[in-house]
Amino acid sequence: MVFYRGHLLICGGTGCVSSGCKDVIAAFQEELRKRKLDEEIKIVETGCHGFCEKGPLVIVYPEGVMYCRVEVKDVQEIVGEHLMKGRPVSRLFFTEPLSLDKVPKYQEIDFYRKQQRIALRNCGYIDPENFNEYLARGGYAALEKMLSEMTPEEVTHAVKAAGLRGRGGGGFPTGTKWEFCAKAAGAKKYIVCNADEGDPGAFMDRSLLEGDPHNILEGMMIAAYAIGADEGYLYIRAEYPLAIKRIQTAISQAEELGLLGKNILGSNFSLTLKIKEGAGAFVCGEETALIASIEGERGIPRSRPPFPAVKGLFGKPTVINNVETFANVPQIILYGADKFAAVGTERSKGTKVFALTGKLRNTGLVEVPMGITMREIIYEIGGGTFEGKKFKAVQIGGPSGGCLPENKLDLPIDYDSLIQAGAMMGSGGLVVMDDESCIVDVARYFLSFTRSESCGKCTPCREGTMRLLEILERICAGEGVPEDIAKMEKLAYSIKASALCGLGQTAPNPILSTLRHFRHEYEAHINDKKCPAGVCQALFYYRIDDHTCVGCTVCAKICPVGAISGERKQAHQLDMVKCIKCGVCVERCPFHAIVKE
Amino acid sequence: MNKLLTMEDLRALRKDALGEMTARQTCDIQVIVGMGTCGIAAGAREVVTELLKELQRRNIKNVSVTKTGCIGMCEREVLLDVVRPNEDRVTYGRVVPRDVSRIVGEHIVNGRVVEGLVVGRIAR
Amino acid sequence: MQELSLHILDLLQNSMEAGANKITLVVKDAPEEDELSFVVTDNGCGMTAEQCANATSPFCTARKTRRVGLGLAFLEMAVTQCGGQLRIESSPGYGTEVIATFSHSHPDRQPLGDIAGTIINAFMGETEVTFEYLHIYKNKKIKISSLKFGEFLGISFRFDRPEHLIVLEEKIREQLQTIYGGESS
Repeated sequence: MVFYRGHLLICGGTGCVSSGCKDVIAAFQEELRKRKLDEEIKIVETGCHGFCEKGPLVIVYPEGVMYCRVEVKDVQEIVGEHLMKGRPVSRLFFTEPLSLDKVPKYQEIDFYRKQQRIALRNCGYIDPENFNEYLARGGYAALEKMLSEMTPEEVTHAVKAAGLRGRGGGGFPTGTKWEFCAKAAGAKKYIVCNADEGDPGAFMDRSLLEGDPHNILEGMMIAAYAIGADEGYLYIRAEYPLAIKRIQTAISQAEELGLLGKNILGSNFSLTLKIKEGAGAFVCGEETALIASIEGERGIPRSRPPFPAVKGLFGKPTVINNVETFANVPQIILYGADKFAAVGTERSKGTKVFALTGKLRNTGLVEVPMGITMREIIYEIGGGTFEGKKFKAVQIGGPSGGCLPENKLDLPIDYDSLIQAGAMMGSGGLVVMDDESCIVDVARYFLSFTRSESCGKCTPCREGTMRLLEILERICAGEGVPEDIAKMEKLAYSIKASALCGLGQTAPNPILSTLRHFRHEYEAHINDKKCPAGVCQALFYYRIDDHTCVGCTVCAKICPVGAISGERKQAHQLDMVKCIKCGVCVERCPFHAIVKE
Repeated sequence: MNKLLTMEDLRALRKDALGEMTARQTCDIQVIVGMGTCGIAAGAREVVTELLKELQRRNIKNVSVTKTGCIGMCEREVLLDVVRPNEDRVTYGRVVPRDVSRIVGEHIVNGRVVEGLVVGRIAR
Repeated sequence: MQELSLHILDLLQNSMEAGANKITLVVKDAPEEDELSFVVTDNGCGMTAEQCANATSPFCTARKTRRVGLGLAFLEMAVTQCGGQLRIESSPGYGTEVIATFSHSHPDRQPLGDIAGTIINAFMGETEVTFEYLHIYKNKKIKISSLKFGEFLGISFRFDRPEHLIVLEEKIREQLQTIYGGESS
């Protein structure tokens, strides 16, 4: 075995690929070869580290030094200074946004320090295509333990005792689901992994599949053993080509080693797993629609009961769990239910992965214990909003969730507290908004998403989301009338009560939660015809201030539609008929003479 | 790759795999406790137990705890050395479990040597 | 030293200093036979017959830092004060075995003490040593091996992470609890 004195971990997740990590990897290989270090330093392409915004990320072990936004031109310096002479390159360290401290070690960065990584424990630490690295991190030890000393009932019991709840959004107790399926009649059963992640801005499932594929497979094996399934599917959307490739590689490796197939590790347990690529319809994340899609039908939901645990895929009892749910399972089996249940709140155990995005200093994938407050996530991990911008709301749970205002920031986050506050865990998208975001526009955006993703099978969802969207568009266009609010509320509650599946039942949530916490913004749009954030184009216009304008002509030159005119050194005029409100002139004016009203 | 037919095969493969990952562990602070007969008799085990608990309580991950034999200062046992990167190696003497939280909090976390307990220093 | 487990720690430490890479510890706790005994076996450098005979003398030591060696002398004292037996068998190049037997009911017999703490202290920081630990109480027994635990925790041979050591300690306590079920030795 070759011993490498150092490991160079380069993030190869989708985020870092799009910021150019492939070129950086090639440059490192070239540079190491040139300096004859290629037998001393090993390059490892890992999955996502979660800090995509700072990518491409490079971490050097054994020191654990992290470099941010590494470009090809930095490679020579890192190799020459750090790897040859042992002097880390401080200009590429992460800079804490508030204290401006340069932090070399990634564990010491606030973004990572406040996290507790259980599901993501291997993401960014191992090479996802190298089976041995997963193994070395204790991989398949849970499988081994289970097959040698646990009965299926004990496995189900452990997951139940751990208090694991579905991470896909609903929060249904996983162990209970398994128990239903295990007790259902019939010899043939299926296990399905729901990787049809479709919330705008959410990418935790993708990162888990890309970064630690064997962990998901091991979780599925444990579930299959518990319920008595010998066949399973991973339903992954085709928009995740890298995730599909990594899972396929992992399945092939496991098959080759005999960890999938007949009589795994000499036991009576057999399992085959297949990938089913989804076409990317949001509704296919709903379990009955997902089943229909795997069966080759149109992806539309059906009414429940019977629940899939009783009558699911091909009419057989089926357990469908989300990717992140499976990611937690091996840890529960390996370290015991108590250890898992020690983290979290009374009714929500363990951790949750959130995709933190929006108007924040640090964005990315974070895993935090349940019961943490939103304030801790946004200010301590996320570094808070940008200079001079005031926090307004955080949208949680994507199109099924809701917006929470500042006075809810100290709410400990778990499944139940969020529902009480009018939001929902969802799959874990967190979008932070500052005072430049318009709440009504956000609600309109999510409604337009659910409207276009509605499968059309049931009337409340097909027609209801359409009508709600029409009202919202009218309000944004400045044509709202005071009755609109009551009308929307009535419509929203009837959709919630009568839609067939989760998509429809939760579609009005963005409206209801914003009406609850931000009613004044709706009223400003309707009664005063004003958009307080200045986002809704119909509700503001630009004006050039005669006194501040010096006639530099910059705005007139930059305006794409020629709406600005005026002589040099004379105050300019803006023709609102021509203006398309693109805002370019405001950004460019050196004298801040153009004002929004 | 050969097929893994039994659990033993899996364990053997994992053992090989572990070696490849050694370089990827970071432990920059080292704590070394004297564990000769003298150390043991003076209560080294209790000090270590307390140290591990304290590190766990504070969720400190980058510390490695190891032991050494008798170094000849038996009358000053329990001896506990703290080595932080790029700093002097500091030896504390006559450490009792009560002192542990101070050494962890002051020296390991904040880099401030607990002068009252120091019995030796080795410049880097 | 007030606890037998401290003597055990001392013996384990001796074994490692003798360059052993395989050490076995067997603790037998049999009140019904009025016996408490432990055996430490290693594959270290071993001792000659002469060294072996002098091993329990406080003025005999292999080390250079000081002229006295008290470990085995202490153990001998703990054994003799309660009418027990101490046997040391060794052969150069093959290893050493120390067997200490105590009368379980003797009022001067030291308590077994914190065996879990002892084990993790012995495991701590060792890179190349394989430990086997067998504990027998009445007719029940537990077995723990360091190699298996290292793999179990997903770390590579270095047992120096506080969080791992604590997991191991809890595990041992838990297992001891299962065989003792609230009784004490």
